Amino acid sequence: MSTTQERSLCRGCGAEIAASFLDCPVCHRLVHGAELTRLAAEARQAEEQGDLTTALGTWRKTLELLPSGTTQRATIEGQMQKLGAMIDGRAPRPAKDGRQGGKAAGVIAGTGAAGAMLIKFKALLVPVLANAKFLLLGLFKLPTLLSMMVFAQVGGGGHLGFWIGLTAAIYVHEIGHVATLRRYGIEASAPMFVPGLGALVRMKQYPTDAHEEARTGLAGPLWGLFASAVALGLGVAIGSPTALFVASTSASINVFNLIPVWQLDGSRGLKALSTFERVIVGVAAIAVGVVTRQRMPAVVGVIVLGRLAFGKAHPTGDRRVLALFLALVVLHPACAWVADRLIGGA
Amino acid sequence: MTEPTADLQFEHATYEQAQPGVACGMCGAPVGGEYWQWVGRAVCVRCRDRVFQLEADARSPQSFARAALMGAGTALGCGVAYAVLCAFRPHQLAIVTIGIGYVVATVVRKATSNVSGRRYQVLAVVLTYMASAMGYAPALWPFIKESPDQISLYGQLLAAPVVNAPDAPLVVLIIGFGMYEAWRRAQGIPMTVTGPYRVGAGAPAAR
Repeated sequence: MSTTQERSLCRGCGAEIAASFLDCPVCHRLVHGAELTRLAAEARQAEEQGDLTTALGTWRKTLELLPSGTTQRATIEGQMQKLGAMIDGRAPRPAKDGRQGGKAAGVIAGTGAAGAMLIKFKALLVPVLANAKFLLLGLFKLPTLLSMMVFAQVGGGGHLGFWIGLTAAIYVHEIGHVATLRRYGIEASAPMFVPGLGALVRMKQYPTDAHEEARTGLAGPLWGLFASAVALGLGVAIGSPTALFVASTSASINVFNLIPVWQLDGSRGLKALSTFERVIVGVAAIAVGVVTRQRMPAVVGVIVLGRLAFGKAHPTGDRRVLALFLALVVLHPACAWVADRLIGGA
Repeated sequence: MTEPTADLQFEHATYEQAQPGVACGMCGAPVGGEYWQWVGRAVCVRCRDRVFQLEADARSPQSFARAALMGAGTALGCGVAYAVLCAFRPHQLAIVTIGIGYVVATVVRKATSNVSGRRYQVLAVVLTYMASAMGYAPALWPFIKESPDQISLYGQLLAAPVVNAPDAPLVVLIIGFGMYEAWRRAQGIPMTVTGPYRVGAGAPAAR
């Protein structure tokens, strides 16, 4: 169907530009040139101040205003990959004083072992506190809060305690995605729960490369592991079978999410792994399935190995993603296994 | 830090491959004095008419019948294969239903030359559900063979995923994923064309 639609006139050549176009089809003058210049200045300023997340998020916004196939877009994508690598530690952060490691390295050198320990402790504590604020994020969003309540209520029946615990565990999993997406400057909604099905987070932008995508994908199961472990610890500490059921179910759901098919988290995680790394994950998952007598890890392993025949593995791989995937594929089933044993013994 | 982004200008887009004036985004021919917009491309009047023709073909009853026939055949094949797989396993391997949704929707979409549309999406979702329900066939097979009221049993087979939802919520969840995949995959291409837009006086013509 043909419709007339809003149009603008090119300031350069006077041609009519369709509303959805980002440049004039005749002279290629950029429609949002002024906005792009402003955003680029903001991004550069954030880079200079060492605020890499803001810089990455701002560059990401420029991509929405640039036509594909342009050199500007290619240059910015290259810069975004560099920033992403600095954020997740694959590349060193630029030191303001020109030396690698900058201030922290200087302080460590000056204070000896005790200083180094303090800085390490701070390095651990700061991300924990920074991430903890995300846990509150969704609780101040009415749609998230209401959908969580409906989710727990619909599932509840005679087991309301279990469903509240499971809802909280799924919430933590989803917040893991949100926290990592925001770390890369990717806008994402707060989690929304779908009664009877699960929860989802809507990305408003997309990761720049496989490394970012793998980390954002596996962040959910990583935070989910924390939730399962807390439930397990609580179950052991107070002898609550309900908490143990929550731990077991939460861990199983997270293992399910590690299956590398479709849009599940495992599929995103696999994108950054080389062929050899995939073999390691696949074999490890099958071994865990055999040892713990659980089907789900074995399914993860079989599909990881099966996917070697389809599609390309990452050319260089990513050791940190490999370590994370391995940890998740071992620790989640282990958590479910321990919880199941304790439930059986109770 | 000195970055390549420092030299960027945002006055004009510079393309990695040279853009020859205003060429049609579909056929590459010069668009002349005016162009239309389709899926973010400038298209010429001939290609605009081709888009209209594709859309008209996709809306025809023949096209729907073809998509339904090809989709049903694919769903039946996938469903039988899935039922056989389930017959040899103690539990359903419901993850297969996501693949069924992908395959069925791809066939439905291809049958409409990728144009698709809402009713084709519904068709793909329904066929995916029916194929996924066949995973319950091995459990119901002894009753289907013996029962005189086979229609009722086939109805039970179709209702099985819903009826068994409380006992196997994860299976239903995954079937839901499969249906969502079918919906997403069968989406097709937006067929809205806007225009015409004047290229403007003094605009360089494509060579």
